[in-house]
Amino acid sequence: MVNVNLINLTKIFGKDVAVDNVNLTIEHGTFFTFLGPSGSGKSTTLRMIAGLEEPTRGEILFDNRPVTHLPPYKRGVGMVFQNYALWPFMTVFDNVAFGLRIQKLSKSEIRERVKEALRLVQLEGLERRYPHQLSGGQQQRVAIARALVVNPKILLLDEPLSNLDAKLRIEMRREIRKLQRRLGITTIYVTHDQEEALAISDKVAVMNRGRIVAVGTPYEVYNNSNNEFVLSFVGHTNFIEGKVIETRGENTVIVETKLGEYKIRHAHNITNGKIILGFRPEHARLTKKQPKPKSSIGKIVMKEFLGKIVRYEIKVGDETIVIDIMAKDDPGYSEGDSVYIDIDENHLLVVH
Amino acid sequence: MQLSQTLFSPYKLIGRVILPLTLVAIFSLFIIYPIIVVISGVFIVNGEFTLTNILSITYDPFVSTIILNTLIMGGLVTLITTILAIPYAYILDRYDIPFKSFFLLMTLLPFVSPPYVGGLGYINLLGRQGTISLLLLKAGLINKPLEIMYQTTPIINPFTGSRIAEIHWGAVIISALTYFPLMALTFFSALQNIDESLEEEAYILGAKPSTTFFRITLKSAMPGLIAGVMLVFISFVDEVGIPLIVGYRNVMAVAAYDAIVESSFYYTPRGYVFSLIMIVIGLLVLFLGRHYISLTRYVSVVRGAIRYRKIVRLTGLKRVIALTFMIIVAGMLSISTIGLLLAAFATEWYLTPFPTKVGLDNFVEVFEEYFILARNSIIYSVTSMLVGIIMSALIAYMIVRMRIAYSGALDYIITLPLVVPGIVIGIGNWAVWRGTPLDPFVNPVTIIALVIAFRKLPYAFRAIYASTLQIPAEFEEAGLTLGANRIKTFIKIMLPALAPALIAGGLLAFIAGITELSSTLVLSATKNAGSLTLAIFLALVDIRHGPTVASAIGVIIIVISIAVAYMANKFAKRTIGGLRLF
Repeated sequence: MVNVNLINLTKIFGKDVAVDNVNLTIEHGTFFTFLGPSGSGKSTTLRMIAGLEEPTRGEILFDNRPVTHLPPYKRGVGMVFQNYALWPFMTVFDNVAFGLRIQKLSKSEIRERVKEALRLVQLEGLERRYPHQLSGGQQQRVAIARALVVNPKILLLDEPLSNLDAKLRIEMRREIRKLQRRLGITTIYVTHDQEEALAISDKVAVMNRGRIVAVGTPYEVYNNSNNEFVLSFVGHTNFIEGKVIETRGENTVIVETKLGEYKIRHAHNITNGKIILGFRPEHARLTKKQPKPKSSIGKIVMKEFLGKIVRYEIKVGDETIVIDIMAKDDPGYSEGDSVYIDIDENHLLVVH
Repeated sequence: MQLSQTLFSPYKLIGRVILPLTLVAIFSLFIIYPIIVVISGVFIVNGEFTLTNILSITYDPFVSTIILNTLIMGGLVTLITTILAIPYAYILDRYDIPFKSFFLLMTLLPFVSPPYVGGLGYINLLGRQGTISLLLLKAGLINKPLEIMYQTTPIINPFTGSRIAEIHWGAVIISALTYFPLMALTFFSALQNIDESLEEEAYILGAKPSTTFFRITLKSAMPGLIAGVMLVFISFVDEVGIPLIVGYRNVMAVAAYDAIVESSFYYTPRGYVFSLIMIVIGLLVLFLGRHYISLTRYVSVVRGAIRYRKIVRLTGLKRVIALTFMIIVAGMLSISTIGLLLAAFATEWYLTPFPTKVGLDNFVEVFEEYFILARNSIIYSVTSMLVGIIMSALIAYMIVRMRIAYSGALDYIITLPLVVPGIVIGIGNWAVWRGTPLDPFVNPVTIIALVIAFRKLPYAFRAIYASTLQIPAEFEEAGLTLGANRIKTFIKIMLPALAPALIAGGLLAFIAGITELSSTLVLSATKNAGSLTLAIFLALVDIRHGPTVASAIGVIIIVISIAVAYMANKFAKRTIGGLRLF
C-alpha cells in the first residue's frame, strides 16, 4: 500500500523526448492505467517507476521517499512484462520461487509461498511444467504469480494482455481486476487498448508524445475531456467547425455549424469567431426532417451492422460524420439516403 | 540525490569501461598488435622508414609471380566452385530427387574435415601411385603414371613472352573440391531464405522460368553468392595445407612461411610483404562482406513467416540430368574420404591399386610416434573452447546489454581473425614474443595455445553472440525487479539461458582448434610443440610412415570433429547458424 509521486519526470533518449515533464500522484491502492498509442512514453514511464530506466530529470517518490536513482532490485516492485519474460529453462515453480530464493528464505517457506501464489492465480498442480508447456493465459498467470509472490509494494503491468486472443483478454483483465481488489495493492498498468483501460482502471492517464493529456476516472476521461487527442484516441469523436453568432448571458453562446444552430452552455472564455466542436457518435440521431435552422442535409455513404449498434457514415459537405444508433432503434435508412443529423446539445463539447 | 546516483555507477564503470577495455587489450595483444608488427616490418627496417620492400612487388619477379599465382589460382578455384555450386544448391533447394539428405550432408563436410586431410585423400587416389593411376596403367589406358595432381600450366605475358605466373592444377582441383561445399552451403541457405511469392509474382507477370531464375532468384540470392565467393577466395589465399600436400610452394601463404624460415639465416622482407598483401585482401573481404550483410538483412525482412517450400518433382530426361550432375559432384567430394580410409587402414600397400593388407597398425603407430603432438592438440582445442566460451559470453553480453560505446567496432575486431591468414598471425606473434617468457623457443605450447584460442574466437563468438541477441532484455529485467542485482541476473538468468549456445559455441571453437594448421606451423619452434595436424606433414615426409600413417591421423581428426560437431548440433540446433562468416 504505497502511493507514488512523479515530479517533473523526463526521459530523453538521444534527441527524442520520450517522457516530457510528467507530474502525477498515484494514490495507494489505486488501479492506475497509462493509456496511449505506441511511442507515447507510457512504457518508459512505467520502466522508470520500476527502475529499469534512469530518468533524465525529475523525481520518483514512493510514500514521499525518493527512489529516483535506486536500482530496480532495491525498489520492491513486482513487474509483469508484455512477453511475460518467463525463464524457459526454469519450471513454473522455479520461476515463481526466484525472488524468494534471492531473499534466501528457507526451503519450506519458499514452498509455502509459491504454492500460495499459484493458488492465487489458479495454477495449482502445474509446478513441474516448463513455460513452453503452458498456454498463453497460463503463462500470463505464472508471470503474475512470480511478481506477486515477493509481496511487492507496487504491481507494474506492461501491456500484459496484448499477446492473448480477444476473448481471453477480457477474461484475464477481469481476473487481474479482481485480484487487485482482493490484495488492495497499488497497481500501475500500461495499455494502448482504450476499452481495456476504461474497463479495468480506477484512474486513467492518457499520454501522447511523452505528455499526460488527460487524467481522471474512466468516466471523466471519456465524457469530460475536451482535449482533441483524448477525444479521438479514446473512442471516436466527430469534429465540426462552428461560428459564434450570439452570446446569451454569461456562459451561453449560440453557435452556427454545418449541422445547424446549437446552444452551448458552460462556454467559458468563448468570445466569438471560429471554434471547433466535438461530439461522440452515440450523441446524435438521424432524421428526415430538418431538425434545426440552417442544418445541411447529408448523404449516407456507409452503413455497418455491428450487433448491438448500427454505425452510419454520413457525408455532409466535405466532412464525414460517424453516428452510432442502438440497433433496436435503427430507423432503417440505406446507403445513398439523404438524412439530417441532430446532435444532443448537452453532449456537444467545445474543443477549442 | 548525488549520493544515491552513485549506486548505479560501480557496475557501469566495470561493465562499460574496465572489463571491455581489458578484454579488447588481451585480444589485441595476440591478434591486432602482431598484425601491426607485420605491417611495420614491411615499412620499417633498422628503425628507418622505407618503401623498398613494398616496391619489390614491381621489380622482384619472384615476389610478383607468387602474388599473381595466388590471385589467378584463387580466381580459378572460385570460378569452378561457383559454377558447380549454383546448380547443386538450386537442385537441392527446389527439386525432389533421391538421396537428398546425402547430397546435403556433403555440403557440411568442411566443418569436420580440414582441407589438407581431404587433400591427402585425393592424393591417395589421384596421385602418381594412387589407386586410379595404377588401375589405368594396369588397364593399359595410360602408359605413364597420372600427373594431373602435379602439372602446372605457365601463363605468358603476350607482349614480352616471359613467364609471369603459373597454375598448379593439383592445388586448384583439390582446393575447388574442398571449398565447393562452403559455396554450395552459403548459396543454398540464401536460396532457402527467398520468399517464394517473389518468384510466383514474376511468373504471374509473364516471365519465363529462365528469366525468373536470372532476374529474381539469382538476384535475391546474390548476397549469399557474394559471401560464398569471398569466403572461398580468402580460404584459398589463407591455405597452406593443400599446397604443401601436393608439394607446391609458390603461393603466398606457403612462400610467406618459407621466407620466415629463411629469414633466420639471412634478412629477407618477403615474408612481411606477402603477409601485408594477404592482410589487405582479408580486410577488403571483411569490408565488402559487411556491406553485403546489410543486403542480407534486407532480404530477411522481406521474408514472411516460415513457409513450406514447394518442391518440384522432376521427371524424364530432366530428372536423369539433374541426378547425374549431383552424383558426379558428390562422388568427386566423397572420393577423398574413400582415399583417406583406404590408406588409413592399409598396413601393406605398395604400388598396387588397393591395399594388400588392412588393420589398425597405422593408428597404433600414431599414438606411439606422435603421442605428445596428440596431447598438444587436446591442449590447443580445449584452450580454444574455454577462451571462446568465456570471452564470447562476456563480450557478447557487453555489446548486447551494457550499451557500451563502439560496440560495432568491437564486433569488427573480433571478426578480424577470420579474414587475416593464420600464417600472418603466426608470423606476427613470432616477432612479438621472441625474447619474452612466451618465446616460441622457450614456451611453444603456451604461446601456440593462446594464439589458436584467440584466432578461433570468432567461431564461438558468432554462435554465442547470435544467441545473446535473441534473449529478451526482459529476462534479466524480471530478475532485477525481483531483487537480483546485475551480477546475480547474469549468473542465474543469462548464463543458463545461454547455456546451449555456450556449449555449442565452445564445441565449434574446439573443432576449429583441433584442425588449426598455419599458426602452429609457424610457431612450433621445437620438435614437441606441434599438433596432430602438423604430425600429418611430419608423417608424410617420414620415410618409415608415408601417407598411410598421415591418413590415419586425418581419420582421427575427422572422427573427433564429427563427434564434437554432433554434440554441438545436439545442444543447440539453432546456434549452428551462427557459424557462418558473415
